[in-house]
Formats: sequence, C-alpha cells, structure tokens
Amino acid sequence: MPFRLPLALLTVIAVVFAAFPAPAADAPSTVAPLMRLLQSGRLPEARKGTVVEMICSRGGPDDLAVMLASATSGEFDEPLTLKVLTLLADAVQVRKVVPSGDLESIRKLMKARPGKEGAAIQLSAVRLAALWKTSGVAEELQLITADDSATDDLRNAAIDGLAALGDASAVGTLKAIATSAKSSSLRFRAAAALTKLDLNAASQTAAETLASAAAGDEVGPLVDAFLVRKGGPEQWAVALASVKLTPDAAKLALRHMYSVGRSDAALSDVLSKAAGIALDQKPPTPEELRELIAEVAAKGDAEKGEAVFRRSDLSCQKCHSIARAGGQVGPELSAIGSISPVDYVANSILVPNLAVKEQFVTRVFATTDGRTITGIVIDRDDQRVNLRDATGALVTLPTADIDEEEEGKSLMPQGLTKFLTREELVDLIKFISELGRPGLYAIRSVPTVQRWRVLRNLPAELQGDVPNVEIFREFVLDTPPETWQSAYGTARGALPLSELGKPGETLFLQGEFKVVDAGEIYVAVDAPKGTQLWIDAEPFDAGASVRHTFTTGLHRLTLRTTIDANPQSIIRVEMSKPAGSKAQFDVVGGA
Amino acid sequence: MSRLCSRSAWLLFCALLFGVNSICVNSTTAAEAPTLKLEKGDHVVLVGNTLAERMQYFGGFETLLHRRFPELELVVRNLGWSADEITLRPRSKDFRDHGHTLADHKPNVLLAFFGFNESFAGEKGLAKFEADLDGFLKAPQGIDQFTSARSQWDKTADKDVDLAKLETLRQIVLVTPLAHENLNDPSLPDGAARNKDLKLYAEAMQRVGAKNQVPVIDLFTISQELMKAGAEKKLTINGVHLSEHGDAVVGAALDHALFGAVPESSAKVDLARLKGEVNEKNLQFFYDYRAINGFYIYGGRKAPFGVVNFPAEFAKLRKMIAVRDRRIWDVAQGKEVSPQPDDSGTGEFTKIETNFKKAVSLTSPEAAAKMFELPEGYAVNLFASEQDFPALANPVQFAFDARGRLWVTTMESYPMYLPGTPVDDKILILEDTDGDGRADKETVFADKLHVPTGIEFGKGGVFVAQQPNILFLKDTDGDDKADVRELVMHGFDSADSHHSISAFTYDQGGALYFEEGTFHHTQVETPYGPRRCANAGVFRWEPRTWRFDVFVSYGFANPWGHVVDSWGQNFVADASPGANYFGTAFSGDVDYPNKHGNLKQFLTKQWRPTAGCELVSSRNFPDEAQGNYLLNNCIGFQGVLQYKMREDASGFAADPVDPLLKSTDVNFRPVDIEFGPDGALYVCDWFNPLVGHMQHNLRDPNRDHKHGRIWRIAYTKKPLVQAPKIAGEPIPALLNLLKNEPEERTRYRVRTELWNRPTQDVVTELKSWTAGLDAKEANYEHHLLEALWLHQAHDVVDEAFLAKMLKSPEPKARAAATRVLCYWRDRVKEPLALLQQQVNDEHPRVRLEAVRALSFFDSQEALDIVVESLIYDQDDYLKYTLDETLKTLERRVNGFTTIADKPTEREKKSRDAEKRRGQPESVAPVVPRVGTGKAK
Repeated sequence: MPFRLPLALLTVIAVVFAAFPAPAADAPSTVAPLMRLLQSGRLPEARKGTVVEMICSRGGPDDLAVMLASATSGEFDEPLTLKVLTLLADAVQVRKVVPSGDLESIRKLMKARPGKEGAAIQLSAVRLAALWKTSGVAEELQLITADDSATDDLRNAAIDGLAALGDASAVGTLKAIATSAKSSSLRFRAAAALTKLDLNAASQTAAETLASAAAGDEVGPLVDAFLVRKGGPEQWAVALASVKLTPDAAKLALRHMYSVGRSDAALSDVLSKAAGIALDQKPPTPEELRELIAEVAAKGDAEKGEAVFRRSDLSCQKCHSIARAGGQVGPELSAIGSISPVDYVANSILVPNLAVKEQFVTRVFATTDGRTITGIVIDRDDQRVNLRDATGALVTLPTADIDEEEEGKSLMPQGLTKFLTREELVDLIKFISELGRPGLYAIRSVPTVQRWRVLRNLPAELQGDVPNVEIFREFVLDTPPETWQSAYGTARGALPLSELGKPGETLFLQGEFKVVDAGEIYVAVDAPKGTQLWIDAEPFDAGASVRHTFTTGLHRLTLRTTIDANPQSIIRVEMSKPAGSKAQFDVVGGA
Repeated sequence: MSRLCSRSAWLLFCALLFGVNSICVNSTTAAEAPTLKLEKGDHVVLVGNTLAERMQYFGGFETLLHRRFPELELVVRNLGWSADEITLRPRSKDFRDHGHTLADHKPNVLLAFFGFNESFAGEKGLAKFEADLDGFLKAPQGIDQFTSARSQWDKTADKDVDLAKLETLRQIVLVTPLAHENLNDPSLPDGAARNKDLKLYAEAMQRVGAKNQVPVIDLFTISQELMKAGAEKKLTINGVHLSEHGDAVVGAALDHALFGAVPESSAKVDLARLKGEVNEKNLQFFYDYRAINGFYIYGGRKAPFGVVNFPAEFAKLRKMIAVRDRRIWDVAQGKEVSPQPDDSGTGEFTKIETNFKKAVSLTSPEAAAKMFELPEGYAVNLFASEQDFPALANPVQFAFDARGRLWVTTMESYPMYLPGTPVDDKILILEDTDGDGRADKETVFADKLHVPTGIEFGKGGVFVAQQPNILFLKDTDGDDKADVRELVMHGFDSADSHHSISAFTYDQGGALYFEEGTFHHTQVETPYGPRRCANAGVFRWEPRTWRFDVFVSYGFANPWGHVVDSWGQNFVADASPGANYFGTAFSGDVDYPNKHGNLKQFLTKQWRPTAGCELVSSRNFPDEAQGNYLLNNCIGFQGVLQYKMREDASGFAADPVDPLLKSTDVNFRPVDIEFGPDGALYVCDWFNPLVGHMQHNLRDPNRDHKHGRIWRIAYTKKPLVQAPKIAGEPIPALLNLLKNEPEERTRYRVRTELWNRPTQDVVTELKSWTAGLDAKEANYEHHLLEALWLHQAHDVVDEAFLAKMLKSPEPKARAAATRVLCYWRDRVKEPLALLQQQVNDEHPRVRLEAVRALSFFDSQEALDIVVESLIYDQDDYLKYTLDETLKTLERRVNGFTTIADKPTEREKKSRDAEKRRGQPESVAPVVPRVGTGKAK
C-alpha cells in the first residue's frame, strides 16, 4: 500500500465536521460546509485563501459580513484582504449580494497604506465603497480626487465613486474635474463618469474635453463611456457637432472606436468629418464586387497589401494573427487564402457580418442600467455571462443586469475600408487571399520568431553601450511584462524595423521558444550590423548562426539593435534543427 | 370504454395474422362506430415522440390506413420527433421557416402521441402534464412555439411568434404511450416501476380527452395485453421502442382501435406493395422534414449560398412527395403504377456556378505520396485509393475489426441528398490479405447510406451515424454483407453535417461515445427518460444497458476527435477552433440546459481546423514517441500534428514536437486516424480540393465526389507488430492478450470481442484468470483493472472487487476505479462513503475523479463531502471541476435543476401586460427537485 490518509486523520476530520451543527434540513447550503471547514482548524494555512474565496463567491449577506469583519479587523494578511475585497466587489456586481450590517467599516481600508499591496488595498476599498454606495464616504472621495500625490488609478476610482454615490454635488464636482484637471487622464475619466449621472451634461462636457485632447492622449475610456451607453453615441455626436474638434483629436476617437469593433453611424460620421476622412460606404453590389475581384486579379500586389494590413490605424493585427502571431480576437489568417475564394475574402473585409464562423458569433446585451455590450460568449451560467470583447478583454456580465439580448454582428467593424484608397483595398484583398496558398505565402516548415516583444523608452541604464550581464538581467530579463509591447513578424517571417521607430533609436526585441526535448538547435539571425544577441542571459555573436544545445523549458532570445536609415532593414530569426538533433521545440506565438 | 370489447376481437385477428396462438378470446361481433371519421382528401398529421417517429420508418399503421380508405386519398404526414413533449420541442434555429409547422401541413386530423417523456416526472409532474395537454387540445398550434427550456434564459431559440389557428383542423385523437415491455434482460429495466407511471399518464390523457371530448386511444392497455399475449415474440428493441414486428402488431391495433374491424373489401390489396410505396413516400418526406444541414437551408447560414440552390431543391422534393402520394392511392385503389415514380414534372435545380476560381488539380496517389514530409525514420505508403477501389469516394471514418480488416465509411452523397438521386454511401471492408501493407480486397458491407459520419463495432455488428439516427447493421450469414438494418437511436440534430455525431469511440468499460457541435438541439428518448443537449456535447451510450447520457455538455464549435488512454482518461478535440481538452475535468453531470464553463486546453493550439486524434501505442514506433498525442489538421497545415504528453498533477499537458506528417498537396484532408493491427498508423484522407461549408455553395460543382485515400505510416527502424489472432479465439486466450499485448488498440479490439461473448462465461473465466495473475508483475494493477472494466462492460456489478480497486496501490487504477464507481453508483451499497474515501485520496487525479463523480448526486451530503477536497492542494483542473460540481449540486439542493425564472424588468412589464389582457401567464421553467441523498 502506498501512502494513504491514515484512518486517524479521517476520523479527526469527521469529528471536526461533526462538531459543527448540521444545517437545518430545509436550508441546504454549500457555504455552511465551507464555513465549517474554515473554522475547523483542519485547513492548512495555504488552503485558507481558496476557501475564503469560495465563501465570498457563494455566500449570502451574513457570510459576507463575516468575511468583511475578518478583512477589516486585520485577521487576514494583506494578500488575503485584497482578495476578499476583490471578491466582495464581484459579489455585489454579479450576484447583487452585499454584506449585512455596518458597511462603513470599509473606511478603515480606504486610508493610504504603505507598499504595493497596501496601495492596491486602498484602491480596492475605494472601489468597493463606491459599489456599495456607502454613505458617508463622499468626503474621503472628494479629498482623493483633489490629491495630486495620489495615483491616477486611485483618483479615477474616487471619481467613479462620486458618480456612483450620485448625490447633488457630484455632477458639479465631476464637471469641474472634467474641464479643469491638469491630468488629461483625470479630465477624460471625469467626463466619462458623468455619463452615468447625466448623459446630456456629459455629452456637452465631454465634447469640450475631447476638443482639448492632444496627440498621445488616451481617449479610449471616454469614448467607451459613450459607446456602452444606450443612445450615448448619438447624443454625443450631436454635442460634438457643436464644438471645434482638431483632426487629430477626431482621429484618436475614431481610431479607438473602430479598434473596439464599433462603427455607429452618427458618431462615426461626425468624427470622420472632423478628421477629414470619407464617410461610410455602402456594401458593394454584385456588379461592383465582380469588378473589384477582377481588379484584385489584374493589379493586386500582395506585398503592398501586407503593408496595409500592418498599418496601426486599421488595427488588423489587434485581432488577427498570421503564422500564429498577432491578436487572438478574430480568426487566424495563415491559411485563409487556401480555403477562401477571393469573393469570400473581399466580402469578409467589406461586409464582415456576411459570414461569421461559429466561434466568432457575437451577442449584444442591453443592460438594465442602459449599457450595450457586445462580445463573443465564452460561457455562461445562472449568474453571469463571460464575454470576450473586441479588444480581447474578458467582460463579466451579471445575468440579473441583462435586459435584452440578441445575436450581434461581427466584432470586426463595418467600414474599416474607408481608411483605404481603392488601390490599398485591392492590395489588401490580394494579400489576404494569397495567405496559405502555394508560393511566397505558403505555410512555412521552418519557423521564425513571429511574436516579438519590444522594449522602448529605455531607462538610463540601457541607453549607453551594450549592457553587462547584471544590467541586462535587471533591466531586460526581469522587466515586468507590461513594459513590453508586442510587434509581429510579416507572413514571411521578417520584422521591419522602420515600423518600430525613428532611425537612430535603440530597441530591445525579445522572442520566446519552448524546448520540449533537449537538444541542438540552430538560431539563424538576419539583422543589421551591430545587433547584439542574448539567449536567456548568455550573449552570442549575432553575426553568425548560433548552434547551441538547449535544455527543456522556455527560453528567451533578446536582440539589441539600432534602427538605421535604410527603410528596408529587418530582423529575421529562423530556428531549425541540425541533422540528427533530438531537440523538439516550439516558437511561442500569440498576441 | 367501448373499445375494450372490440379489443378482444382485434386480438383474435392479430393472433391469426401474426401467429400468436394463446389468446383468451371474448369476442363480440357488435358493429361499432369508428372513433375517427375521415373524409376525402384529409390531411392526417402525426405529431409526438419517438413512438410516432419510428412509425414512419416501418409504415405498418399508415399502410393499413390507406388500405382501409383507398378512395379517400389521404395525405399522411408524420411529424413525430424523438423525445418531443407537448411544451418542449427544441429545434435548431429558424426551423419554423422550413415549412413543417402544423399550420404548414393544413391538418384535418391530428394524431398526437405524447406522454412518454413527460411521464418520467412521475406523479409530481401529472398536474403540469394535464394542464399542458389541455392547452394543446384547446390550441394545438401552440406546440409550434419550438421553445426549448434554454430559450427561457439565454434567448437563443426562436422568439415567440403569433401562431394562427389551425382553420382546417376537424379532429384530434390522443394516443397514449405504450406499456414498457419486460425483455427479461438483466441489463434492462423490467418496466414494473415505469408501467405505474405510464398508467398514470395514460389515465390522465383519458381524463383530459374526455373533458375536451377528444377521443383517446389507450395504447398503454392495448400494448400491455399484446405484450402478454405475444410474449414469445417481443414487440420492442429495448422495452420502449417498437421493432418492425412490433410496429406491425401495434399499427394493426391502432388501426383497429380507431376504425373497428377491417372491411372485407380491403383484403384484395397487395399489402407489401402498398407498404413499399408508403415507405418510399415517407423516405422522401424524411429528407425534407429532417433535412441535414438545416442551418444552411433555413437557419443562420442560409445566406449567401443556401438561398440560391435550396429553394428549387425543396420545391422539387415536395413535388416528388406529391407524386408518391398519388402512387400510394393508385396502388391502394388497385390501379397499375409504373415500376419507378415519374419525377419528370417535378421541376429543375438552379444551376450553381463555382466560386472556386483556382485551378482544380486532383493529385494522383503517386504524386501525392511524394508530397509528404515525415521525420527521420518514418515512411508513408498508400494503403488504398480510388484507383484500386473506385468505391472509396470521400472516406470519412474508419475502424479496424477483430480480424484486422479496415472498415471505412464513404460519403459521396456529401454534403446531402440531392432530390431524385438515391443516396449510396457505403461501408467498405478493406483487407490486406498478403501482408504487404496495401489493401488487396474490398467487400461492400452496406450501401444506400446517407452521410455516415461515424462508425464503431458492437453487438456483433456496427453502429453507424445516420443523422438524425443511429443505425445498427449486422451480417448474420457470414457473407460480409449487412442483412440486419435496424434504427436504434433517434433525435440527434442534423442542423450542420460538419457538427453531426462523429468520432465514435469506446472506453474500456463498454460505453460508446460520439460527439456533436453547436447549433444542434439534440434529444434522445431512452428507457430511462429523455436526454437533451443544446449547442454541442459528447454523448455516452452503453449499448448493453441502453443507458444514454450527455458525457460532456460544453460549448464546443464542432468536436471531431476523442481518444481514451490506456488508463481510461479521455481527450476531446474540437475541430474548428483546434482546441483540445482533458475530458475528466468537464464530464461531470449538469442538468439540461446548463453547460460546463470554459475549460483550459491541455495543449497550446498550433493550427486549426482538426479532425481526429490518437495516442501513440505501438512497438513499431520509436520509444520516445510512445504516448504522444496525434492530431489531424486539414487546412493550411495539412498533416498530422504531434504533441508530447506529460502528467500534470490531476490532469495532463502536452507540448508540440515535430509533426508526424506534413503534405504540400492542397487536396490532402486527413479526417480520421488510428493505429492498425500491424502497429502502423492509418490516416483517412477525405481528399478534396474544396472543403468549406460557409465559403462555397453546398452544391459547388468543384466539390469532389470520386476520390479518397487511406495512408499508412510506419517507422522503418523497428519491426512491425505481429498482429495476434482475436476473432473467434477462446476467452482465456483473449484475456491473455489483454495481459500480453502492449498496444492499446489491440486490447481495444480484444475487448470488443470479449463484450460479444456470453456474460456468464466471461465472468467465470475472469475469476480464474485474475487468480492466476502474478502480483509482482509490473502491470499487475492494470491487468486487474482490465478485469474490472470487463465486469463493467458486461454490466456485472462486483462491489468487493470495486472496493479493492478503489484502494489499488496504483493511483491511475484508483482513478479509473472511481470512474467505474460513478457509473455503478445506483447499484453499490454506500456510494457516498466510497466517494468520501476517494475525495481524501493522496493523488490529485483520484480526487478529481471523485469530485467529478459527486456531481451525479443530489444531496447536501454530497455537497458536504465534495468540499473536503479543499483540504488538499488544488490544481486548475481540481478547482474547475469542484466549481462545476458545486454549481450542479447547489442547483439541485436548492430545488432547481434548470435556471430559476428571474424575469427582467422588461419581461415583468410584458407579463403584466399579458395578464391585463387576460392571457395565460407563461409557465416558469422551474423543475423542483428534492434531495434524496441517493444517486441520480
């Protein structure tokens, strides 16, 4: 016999369970046994968090009150406190369950606390107070919004909190922040929060706020606030028509709209006009489609089409991957041309709703509080619907909040092609319909690194010469994931450097591969002169192919390069096995 | 009640007709007014459950109807549908638009067969049933709402529409369910308990009928007497569904009950001839009513292609059906008819142009063979192609029999029946008689099949997917041609043939699995009650006990691959998204229409779409490849992907290694994959330049219907496996093969052979075999497990043996035994105590199996036990499965198996408005349950 739980231990468990009264026969419950388990003393400390989590995600008001008391009294350590706050937020948002008894104890946790975890607790507590509409916290929220030393996240949460409390002074406070705050992020957030209180006032204020936007401003949250509100895009469009928008501000808003899969006519029109872009076109007639296809056959240039595909204003790569690298929202396109006739490809670009594969069918939800949310349903149960939206983000929608629901359109917005000239459209269709067909765009047997991570805005330590191994570890290998941005190789495996910045700029680029069976692998690097190569922390001469024996596990390959004046410069890293090598590996793709 | 006397007269007639010879006769000659008066040209429409549905396949009742009323020229349409209930008729999207609502058929007379599925709610469900039935009699058009329970909360099904009154309807007749027949089979219910409930429901139908002055045929009592009278020859195939013989007997009984004695003038008609015409008409009607690919005909994807070709096709088909109605009347009236129906006046098809503009280049087998790329040491050769075997057109699924022969289903009728062109898909037996790795003999086992998307052996024959049904085929005289052809299961949706039941595979315990994709609303009637699944799932069926359940209810796109490893763990591949899942984690019980939540995949997807998976288990393959997961991919990357599997706590994970096979031939479409008896890997090549369902018209002329290949991959540096003799071997020899043959596929075929042997012999031999095993042998625990699985497959519960295996020193064996416990839960003494022990097991996979198994209960006690798993470390799978089990148990102990009806503000308003208008409130979809502490 192998190790089995000793009978004695089982008996102890049984006794401990028996020590707590069994629930009344008429009140069956999952939480009761969980509560007993938590209080039994049988639970290893490491397992406590999970049980607390389960109680929070299932319990009724009294159960949640116990959890809240434990969190505010300091009985739970900081990580667990944070977890409880997050789950209490989930409980009120999704299950509409609020702890019984006094909620004002949350104020204890709304005070500034030291450390990363402390800051997160404060932030969660502020958000929770807003969700509970806890009376008596308005003053704290006001103070936070006015505190220039507070993080934007915290101040944004306070702004949302004020909007949630919705008392008489809130509209005025939010208007004031929206029009006069120094930080553009705060201005936008306040204007966005206003939509929840007074759509009319918000439209006018937000129109002015948008008019003040400068290049580089993140207008997304503001645009989103109107997009999700029923009638929001239309009402905002009216207000926007009355202000003077710079073409740049209009483009920022327009691009964001399309990148989240929306093309609402009224808003799109007013923004297009201000941006100087053509209005939406009608779907092609069969005649026009035939002409277009003939033109693709006669004049389409796949290489130019790929450049169109890679343009950031079209956001194609945000949703679609090629050679397994790129966005994961829409279909992977590597083989699309081998299965889809040109008319199907052209239609899919011009009229995305015409044919939608089953796993990309969307649903549109209208919520009881007047929001409209579109996404692909991942799963659903009695309490919530989990959706993937056009940005690839997971959205959880409480079933109780759903007022109406219907099948939606494709997440790919209709009318993206208005950003294109006829020639560009023809080239784009050509490129897509060549993918996976025998020839230049066939599926390749020898993999290249396709999904690159790009590190820019380099810290001073990386600005100088080639970093030493300590600097390299600290500032490159150990840099948190959010400091890297994704860039994707072309269908044929190259990464055009000119897309990544201006000549003279130094970049770090990183790819990943997973070794399943250890062995020798060739890494062939094609890069401008002067490029340095590291595989994990070990430097290599990037001028020649590296032949190296790798252990199993995930490996990182980093390049340091400077963008040169040649617009054709590329990086291409091909990986293969020398004859007889037992290595098995997979180059990591994805978004 | 006047029917009772005449029933005896009828029994006499029946006894004469069918050779039943021991009936106590109490005859009366009193002429009786018929229950049902028919008029010339009446449209007689049958609706209801499988009882009605199966009548169309045999034609017994309808033939008698035309014989009795030749001059009335009746138009008979059978709308029976597996597992239909009065208020639950799930259909795929926009089925209503297809032209088969009651109103579309303008019924003058309705024969309604309800009550069987409803009766599983027992006494508690009676009040609802009576109310529903009453509603039906008052407004029969209401059943065409096609609401599924799911629509009540996620609104995926059709929206409510206004249904017009049936203006032509003159008469409804209710027909009660049959009695449950005792087949004296220890693996089937004897029906005693069921008959109590069925009787209650039959009586309720009579009450409601009387109240509404609607005649009721008490088929329950009639069939119960017939079952007693004709005990020698059974009426049903499984206790609840009529055989062809039963259809004839019950059809005659129904005819008699409706209309009294048969007039003498009827005797002249050639009944067999008439039945032939009736069945031909019903077959054409079936192609219309139960058309496959409905989603492309009337559903979500009818545009842009279906709207072009299908209107003309169905217009023609409906005219063809009218031609056949005429032939039925002519034969019934004694007129001469032409040997074949004349369809010349039924219209033409729309001409379809291809949109596949690339040059179609169909590669020869020789050229295709050169376009493969394989890792060092492997070689591929052609096993069979359309060149040597012209019948090998569009092969889609295959399986090796115990004699080592390859059975392949072909599918030239794909994508579906073309009106006027009889279907002729086949099952071919391909044999390599000289052992050179190439097939040299072909036998056509069966033909005239329609889109056979799945095949597996069983009960001495084969089970074949024939949407919406499963067909059993068997050769009884040894000529390798099917002479038994029996439909055994119904109700698998056919909305999309790319999503229809496929990937047939067994586990070691004798359960057969197959799977279907989204858009589908399936409902299957079983002796244990109706089983339903909306929008994709994997099914599990025990052919011996007829237990059928949804194994995995999950939002797949279209699963098309399922493999079970040598310890009984399942892996499921979803085709379109290229997703692969560890089956144990999401195969716990959920109550329809709920589904499991999103599960992580066990490998990182490389390509899509896939079709078919397999695990490497062959001494011919290199050592380092053993256990690898193989996955066919058909577009873009065309070949066989390969992943190295590893144990990952309670589950598994896999990483990509070199693909086993890659082709640059764009026509190469690998759709099935399996190791053969020689240890080589066989790949089924559908071979088609054009595969998309959405991208091209279903009738695109460039779809190929003539080609197909089977490829064979072997490793050249190791010898092939010497295939052992299986078919016909004595039981002890077969048991030794289970012990000595390392190839899982060989043992798979040995097991299927053993399942066909007499249960008593197998159990007896197993006793001495297990006693003789060497406990020190490395695979001792696996050998014991094989013995346990054989008990399971033969439906022999050995609780002591199970208890021993639940404590096996091998965790994989404990996990497998826990799965057996799950399926024996209603037949062992204290299943929860045993599961409590497994929930506290040291090995995570055993705990996972226990947490999964607890989802099949419905008590607070099960809840209390399952949370004990929290004391131990949890990985993703344990966390997921615990969460899923808790959801199911919470719903049950709280009294709701379906989603509680929580109306939104808008719905509340509209309901209030309805109330004010004086309309009935909609019935809340709430099925209360009471926790009993017993297994479900």
